[in-house]
Amino acid sequence: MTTSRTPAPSVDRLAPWAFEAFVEANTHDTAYRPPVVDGPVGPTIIRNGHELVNFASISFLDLERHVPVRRLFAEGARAHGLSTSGSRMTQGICRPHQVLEETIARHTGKERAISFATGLLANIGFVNAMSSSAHFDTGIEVRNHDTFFVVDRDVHWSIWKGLEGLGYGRNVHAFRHNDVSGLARVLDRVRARDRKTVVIAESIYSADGTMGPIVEILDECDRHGAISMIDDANGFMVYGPENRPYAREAAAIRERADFVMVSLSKAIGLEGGAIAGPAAAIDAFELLSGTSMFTAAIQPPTAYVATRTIETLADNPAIVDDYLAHAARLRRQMHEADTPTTPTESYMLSVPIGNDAAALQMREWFVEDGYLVPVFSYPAVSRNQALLRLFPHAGHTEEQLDGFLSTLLTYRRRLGV
Amino acid sequence: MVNDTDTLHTLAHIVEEIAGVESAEVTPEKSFIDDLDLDSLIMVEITLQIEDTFGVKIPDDQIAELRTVGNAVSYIDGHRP
Repeated sequence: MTTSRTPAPSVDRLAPWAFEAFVEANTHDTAYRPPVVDGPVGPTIIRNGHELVNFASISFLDLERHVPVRRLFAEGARAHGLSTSGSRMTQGICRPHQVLEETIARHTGKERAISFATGLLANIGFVNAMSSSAHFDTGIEVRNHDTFFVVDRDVHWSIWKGLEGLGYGRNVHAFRHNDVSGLARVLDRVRARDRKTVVIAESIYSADGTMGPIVEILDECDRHGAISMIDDANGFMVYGPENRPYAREAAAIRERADFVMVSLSKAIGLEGGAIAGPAAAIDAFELLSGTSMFTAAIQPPTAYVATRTIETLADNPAIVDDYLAHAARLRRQMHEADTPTTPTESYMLSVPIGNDAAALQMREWFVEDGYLVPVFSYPAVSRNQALLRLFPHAGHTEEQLDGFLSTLLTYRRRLGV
Repeated sequence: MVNDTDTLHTLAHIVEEIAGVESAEVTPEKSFIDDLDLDSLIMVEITLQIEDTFGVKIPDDQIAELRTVGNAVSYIDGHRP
């Protein structure tokens, strides 16, 4: 008797999802197969055998010059293995995770920190933990489905993803980007003081590189009895010392924000994230976040290197001081060349171009001429509000930065933007 | 008979409260998006407030049709319980 086999799903069954038409309609603007980088990512990268000066790397400190990252990773791997291979609650965390979490708590000025495989999981886990209801037994319960969230419109996708399903316009409201009076209006309107309210904003925003009005946001939280969470992914270990920009905001995050999210993929140059805050809440997050328990953790050697990198940056402020001066120099040169950037003192340079087609053309020309420059165009930003978003890298030479600037000026003249 | 001046007045206050646009600016010929500079997130909040205030449910496929303040006033008045 022949055994019938279940036929493989036919491609036609996916037709109602219209994936093929979607991809075909957009391939002139968007690459759906990601380009492949050969070798390590740094101030330059190799794609298709071509070297490109890289303005897309979110890890910008050229750390291998200051921290023997790869040797430490190997050391951490030898001592602690490559994978946690088990849940935090059942098997436990590796020693490097515990040390990393204590290190992050210390450097953020909070009682405790909990680590996640990525910053995205940290953010989703935070929202989930703050809005969960769980009942195990009498007295062992939380009922937080009535938490009210008020967020800056431009917060990261991961926050919006976490808030999905909580009811925009009911339990979730947004205020215009960096608009404290908008925040105040929402908090007044929803009578935040009578509710469990959480305000979420970022320190440095990824699209425009601006620093949020942190002090004023925290003032409004105090005024309305709201809990604050600051996503400091782009600021962690960069801002804080008095000699650097945004010392006031960094101090406010440290001293006044209830919770802070940090990323290990920016200044720290690795992968991972954490939420730091009051110990009782973070203890509860172990069970309530979901994203610390039901998925993989940061690889142990990564946690091992992250701790050492954080301590190196704290003990050697010149590493970040020099980088910030390097980024500021490029900003100054751009202004002197009559190329405006979004007003901010942060290391991220955001160059408004405007016309979407012009920005996308620039992106192609840049690659042909040896530069990898991220372009934000519609729908990532509003129509014809396209911009270039640059991360100067500590490893970029003067020659590379001068070359980039003169190339940009040439394109602007050519396109009339 | 329903007084659509009352509806306009109430709607203008909803828009002022939610979006910070002065109620005097919220006049029938104005487009929410192009003239009053409201985005889709604000429109969701305004729609929900309209539902709560007037008892009028606006289905998702109707929201896009309410381009102007006048469109919204007419819809509300035509569907009030």
